[in-house]
Amino acid sequence: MDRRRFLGTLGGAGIACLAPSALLARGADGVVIAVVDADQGSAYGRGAILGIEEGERAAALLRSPLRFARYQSPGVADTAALARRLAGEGAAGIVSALPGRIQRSLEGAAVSEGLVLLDARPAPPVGMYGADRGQEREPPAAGGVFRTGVPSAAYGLALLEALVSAHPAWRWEVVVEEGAPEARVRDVRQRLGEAAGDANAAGPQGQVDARVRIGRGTRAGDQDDGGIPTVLIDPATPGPPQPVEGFRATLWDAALFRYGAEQLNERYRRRFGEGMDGAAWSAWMAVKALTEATLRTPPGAGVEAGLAGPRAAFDGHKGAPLTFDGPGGTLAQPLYVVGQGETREVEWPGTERDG
Amino acid sequence: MTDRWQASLGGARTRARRAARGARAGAAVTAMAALALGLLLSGTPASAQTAHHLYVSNEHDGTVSVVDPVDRVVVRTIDVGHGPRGIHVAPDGRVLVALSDTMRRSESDRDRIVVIDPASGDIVAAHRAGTDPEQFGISRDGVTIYAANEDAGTASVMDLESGEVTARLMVGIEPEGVAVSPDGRWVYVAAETSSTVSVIDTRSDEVVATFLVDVRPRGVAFSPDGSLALVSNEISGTLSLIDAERHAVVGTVELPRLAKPVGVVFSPGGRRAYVALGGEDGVAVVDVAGRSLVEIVPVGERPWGVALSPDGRYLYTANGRSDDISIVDTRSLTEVGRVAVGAGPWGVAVRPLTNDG
Repeated sequence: MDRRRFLGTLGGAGIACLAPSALLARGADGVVIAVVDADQGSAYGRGAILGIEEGERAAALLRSPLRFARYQSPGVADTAALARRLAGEGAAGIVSALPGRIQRSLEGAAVSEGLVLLDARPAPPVGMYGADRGQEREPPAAGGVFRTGVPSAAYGLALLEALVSAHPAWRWEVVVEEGAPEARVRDVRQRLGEAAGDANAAGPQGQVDARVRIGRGTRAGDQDDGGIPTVLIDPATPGPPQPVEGFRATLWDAALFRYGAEQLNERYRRRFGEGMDGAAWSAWMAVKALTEATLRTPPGAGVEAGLAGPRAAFDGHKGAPLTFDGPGGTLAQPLYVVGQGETREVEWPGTERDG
Repeated sequence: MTDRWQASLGGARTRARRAARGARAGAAVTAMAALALGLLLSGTPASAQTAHHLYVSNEHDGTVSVVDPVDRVVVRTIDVGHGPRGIHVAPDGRVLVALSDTMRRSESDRDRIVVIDPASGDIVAAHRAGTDPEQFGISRDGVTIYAANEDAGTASVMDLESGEVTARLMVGIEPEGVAVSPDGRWVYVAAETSSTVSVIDTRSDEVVATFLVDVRPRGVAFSPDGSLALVSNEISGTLSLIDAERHAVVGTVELPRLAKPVGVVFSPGGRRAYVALGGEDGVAVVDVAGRSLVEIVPVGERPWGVALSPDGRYLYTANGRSDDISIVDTRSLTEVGRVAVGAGPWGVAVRPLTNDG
């Protein structure tokens, strides 16, 4: 008897591009995770596709009725209707990474319908500190919204921290623009310690090796820079400082290999023929987290507890349990600063977490 | 294919023989001293009942260290190839090691399960077992290998004698831990990314069930009577207790949150389990019935692989970052010795000494 075989295709595991009207109802044919704009045209879309494919495979193995449905981006006027329809048809939640106003509208609509929403934007416009610090705006939607990215300012802080760690002898100059958040200035100065001078102070600053510029936090609009510390390397000669070259802070890098990162990178590369970046990882993570929370949630219970309950933790191949307890529902996680042939990990949230 | 593989390892054998000759020359002198010392010092594994060697896979330098735990010396070093990880002793006494090519982009010629003749230290076979065969289990009769293919998300069923892969089964995503039940009926394959355990029925070589455990399962072990299994969950910092008849999670043992449990083994009586805690540089001693952590015994840095002496008196851990193994006395629950091995020790297997010993 020839026992050679390959059980490579799971029945029903293929991805179906479903129109909203084709959604499956909970209890009859299963529970649905809705993913917006999961197409190969963007890194977000590719990451979401990998998450969907892996989620479908897990669901098939577990004989779970969980299904995934893809949607095109709705207009602002359509978000409430979409959320209402999804809630009525038994969706567990939504994954999206839309432009600011539409994303915010969809978040609000999802929350009002009792759905969870996974915001997969790598840099969602949320405050760094929460209400008690009172320096920056609040998250655009409360409860039920979880974010796999981190505030844009966190990237600047991570870059700063990595450079300070790599070059402890550097002397830094801090340029504080008018209206910059006080908490951010405090964080930067705390990180730089005695190495920090102050470009805004009177008097000569002396020679500096690098400069960090702290911008004004945006309190309205969709393009929130959150007071990003722009880290600059100051040339020895007078003139405008130049951005740091060769360094970048990111959620993910295609060269990561520890903690199973190599396996994830390889799966992504095999599927799409390119390396995984932060946007793709954020989307993959959002789909994965929502999938796991849904699979672990007993029938009739809310999936929110699976995302944020006391035992909720996720594996993002970053070597630590990842939890959605960062400010604004962000995923607490290591960021990576990549440059000059090395990668450094910087925790988000860092020291400001207790602030 | 096997011949070519062996030919490329000619240098390895020379080195192994040199190490073995050196070890044999010193063995006569040291044996009596070691025995006397063993009688004097509690915690020195010297009894005839526990006469055994340890085989340690060293991931970073591509070797297997053969350790005499009585003399606490490496008696032989065997070059096996790139990335040795999972290591087990077959019922016939041969030693099997999984090799993974970590620089691969697809299944590589370096992805193999090699078979070591313990008498000569030679690699006598090198079998393909799918891509990235990190861990594997051996059937009770020693005929069949069940290997997790981490990259492919499959489990390969392989005939050990012929090396033929007879089935590739879809399991969870990024499978690693594999264990065969004591009666040989079931094989559990834990998958890290999907946090699942797939159950293979060895009568049909089909996946008959899959269940969720906590986050990022790494190691799997069955209790000696086969009624229970334990799965270590690295990211959750927990152990899942499995009813191995129903294939269902029936309990959880909480470990320190960042303990990163990996290798797990039951004591011979099944009352205790020992779990390597990579994040704690220690071994968790677990009361199985009480589902509770008894103690954490400090060992070397980042222990992953664990194994027990045949009588259960000594526990051995492969310490990946300190490049050594720890010897733990399971009565006093203390580390009683260390032996330096190769670079990046990953797994450890115990081989009772027989006529070739």
